[in-house]
Amino acid sequence: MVSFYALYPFLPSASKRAERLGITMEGVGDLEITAASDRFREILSRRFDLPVLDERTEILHFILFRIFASILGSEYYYDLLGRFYAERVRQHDPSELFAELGIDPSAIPLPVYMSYRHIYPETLLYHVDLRGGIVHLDDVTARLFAGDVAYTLARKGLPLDVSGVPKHFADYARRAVPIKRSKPVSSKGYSFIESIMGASGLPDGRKRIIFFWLAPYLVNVKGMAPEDALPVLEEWLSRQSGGKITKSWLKDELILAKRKGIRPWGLKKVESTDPALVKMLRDLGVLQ
Amino acid sequence: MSDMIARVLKDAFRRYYRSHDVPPPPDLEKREFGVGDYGRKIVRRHISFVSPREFRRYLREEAPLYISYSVGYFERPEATPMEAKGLLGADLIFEFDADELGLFAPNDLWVCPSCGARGLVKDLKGFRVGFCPRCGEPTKVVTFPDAEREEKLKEEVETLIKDFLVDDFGISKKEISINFSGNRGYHIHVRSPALRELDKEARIEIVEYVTGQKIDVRYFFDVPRMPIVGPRPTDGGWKGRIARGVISILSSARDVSDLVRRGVSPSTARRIMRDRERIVELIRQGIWPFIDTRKADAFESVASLVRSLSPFMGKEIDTNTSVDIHRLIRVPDSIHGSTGLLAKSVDNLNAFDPYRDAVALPERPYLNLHVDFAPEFEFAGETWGPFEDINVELPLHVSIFLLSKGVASWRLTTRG
Repeated sequence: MVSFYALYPFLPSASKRAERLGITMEGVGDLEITAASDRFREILSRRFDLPVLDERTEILHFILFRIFASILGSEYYYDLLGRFYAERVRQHDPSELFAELGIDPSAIPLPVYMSYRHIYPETLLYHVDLRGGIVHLDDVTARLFAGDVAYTLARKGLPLDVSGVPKHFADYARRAVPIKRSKPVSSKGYSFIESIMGASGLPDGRKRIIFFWLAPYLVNVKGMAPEDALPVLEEWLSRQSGGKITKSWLKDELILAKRKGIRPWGLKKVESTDPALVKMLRDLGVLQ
Repeated sequence: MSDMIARVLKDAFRRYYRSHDVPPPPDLEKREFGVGDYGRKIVRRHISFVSPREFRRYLREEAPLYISYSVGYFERPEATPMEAKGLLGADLIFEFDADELGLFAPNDLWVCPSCGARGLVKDLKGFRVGFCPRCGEPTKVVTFPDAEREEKLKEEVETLIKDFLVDDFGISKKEISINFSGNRGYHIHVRSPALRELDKEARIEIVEYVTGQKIDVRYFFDVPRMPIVGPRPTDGGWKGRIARGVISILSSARDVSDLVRRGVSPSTARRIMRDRERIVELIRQGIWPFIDTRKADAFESVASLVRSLSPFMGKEIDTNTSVDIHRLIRVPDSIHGSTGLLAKSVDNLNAFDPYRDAVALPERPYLNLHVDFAPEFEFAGETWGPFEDINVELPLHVSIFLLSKGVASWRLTTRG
C-alpha cells in the first residue's frame, strides 16, 4: 500500500507533511543527496517507471529534484521532472488526488481544468466532453488528467531561488548531467528509410511517407526528440513537391509516434497496404 | 500629402469627440492605452487614465487617429517594460476578419502587384481569387461593401457566440460584447472573470478548440473495444459536434460518390451506403461499426469526414488576437483612422450595417480625389461609383474610405 504523500509529494499540502516528518535541508545527509541525485539522473534519462519508495524519501526526493532542476536551470529538465510525476500518477486511481484538490472529474469548471491541463493529447479541450463551461471526464481521461495535474504542480514555481543552496548540492546536480540517454533501437533493416530521407522531388505521398516511416524512424529508431526531429522533416518536405503541410500536423505525428513508441512500418507491410506508394518510390528509383 | 490628410482627419475627429461621449473600456484605470497617427496605428503606448473624465478629455484635446487599449488588466498600466506592469488578467478576444475568412464578393477588386493587372472578382471567370489570371502571381484583393458578405460575417459571429462561447464554454451573454472593428470585421470581447486569468497556453488551446483544426479523431474512440465505441450526438463539445455532423453527412448522402468526395474510402463508402440506416442508428448510440481497427487506415475515413466538416463547424478567427495577452485593441466607439468608421459596439447584430451605422465622419470638407478604380458601392446611405481613372470631388467620409482602400489619391481640398 503506497502512502498518500509518497505518491503525491508535489501537492501543496505535502510541505506540511514534510514539516511533521522533520524534513529540513540542514538535516539532509550526503547519502540521501547522493541517492536523490542518482534517481534524478534516471529521470533525466527518461526512466519514468521508478518504484515508489516510502513517504519520507519521496517527499525529500521531490524537494531535492526541484532544487537540482533549478540549479541546472533548463525548461527541458523542468519538463522531464513534470513528466516523471505525471507518468507515475496516471498509473494509479486518481480519486484521492482529486478529493484532496476538491475536483470532481465528472464535472470540472473550465477555468480549473485549463489551469491544470498540460501534456496529454487525449485531455486537450477538443478531445473531451465540454458543455456549458463544465468538462466531463470518463475514467480513461480522468487518469490522464491526474497526470496533467501532477505535471503542473510538480513544475509550479520552477526555477527556485537556489542562491543559498550549499555548494555540494550544486555539485550533485551537475553530476546528474550529461545524462545517460536510452540506447537507440537498432537501425538494421531500415536502410530503405535512409534512401527515402535522401530523396527529392517526390510528387505524391508525403504524408503517408511521414506517417509510415519518417516520423517513427526519427523519434524511435534514431532516438531524436520530437522538437529535434521537426526541422529534419521540414527540411525533407522542402525538397518535395506539393502544397503546404502544416507544422502542427508534423508535430502531432512525431509526438504520437514517440508517445506510443511506434516503429517504422516494414516495406512489405506498406506494400500490402499501399502498393501504389511503394510502386511510385520504386519507379522513381528511391527504392530498389 | 499624408500630413495634410492627417490634419483634415484630426480636425474631423476632434469635432466628433467634442460632440460624442465615447464610453471608456471597463476597468479603465487598469488598462494600457496606445495611440497612432496617420498610417501608423501605434506610435505611443504605455498611456493610462485614472478616470473616464480624463479619458474623454484626452480624446477631445488630442483627437488621436487611432486609440487602442490593452486586453490585459495591469496593476501599473503605464509602467515599462511590460514585465513591470504587473499583469492581473486579460479579456479573451476573438477577431473575425472578412479577408481572413476568404469571403470575397463579386464587386471586390483584385490587383496584381507583379504585372499590374486588375479587375473585379466577378470577372475572374473561373480563376481562383488570390492569383493573377494573367501571370499567376499572388494578387491583393481590395474589399468593398457587400451585403451578402456582411450577412456571412454576422452568421460566423453568432454561431461562435452561441455554439462555442455560450453552449461549450458556458459564458454568460452578459459577459460578451460585439464590436465592429472599424474596418473589415468584428471583435468579440469576453470579459468573464472566470476566464481572465487564463495563461497564453490555455488561450492557444481555446483558440484551437474554436478553430477545430487540430482535432485528432483517434482520441474520440475507445479502440480496444469491438465494435468500436465513439462519440454520440448527445455528447458535449466537439465529440457531439462530430457525431452530429457525421450523422448528417451519412443521412443526406445520395450515393457512394457523395461520401468518396468527402474522403471516405470507396470500400467503406459502399459498406456504409449498403447499411446506412442501421449505421446511423448505431452512431446515435455511440457505436461506429464502419471503423475497422485491424486496418492501418482505420480512422482515415472518419478523419476525412471530420476534415470536410471542420470549415463549417470550426471558426476561422485571428489566432494572434486571441492569444496575445499584451495586445492593444481598438477602443469601442472610437474612430478607426484608416477608414473613418467607428469601431462601434453592436447591440443588435442583425440590424447593424457598418457602412451606414458606423460612419462617423461628416461630409465636409469635400476632397478632390483621383480614383484609379472602384466599383459601384453603397456607403453612408448613398450609392457611389463606379470610378475608373477619374478625378472626382467626394465628401470626406467616402473619400477617407477610398483612400484607406488604396484605390485613390488626394489631389487637394476643394470645398470647406
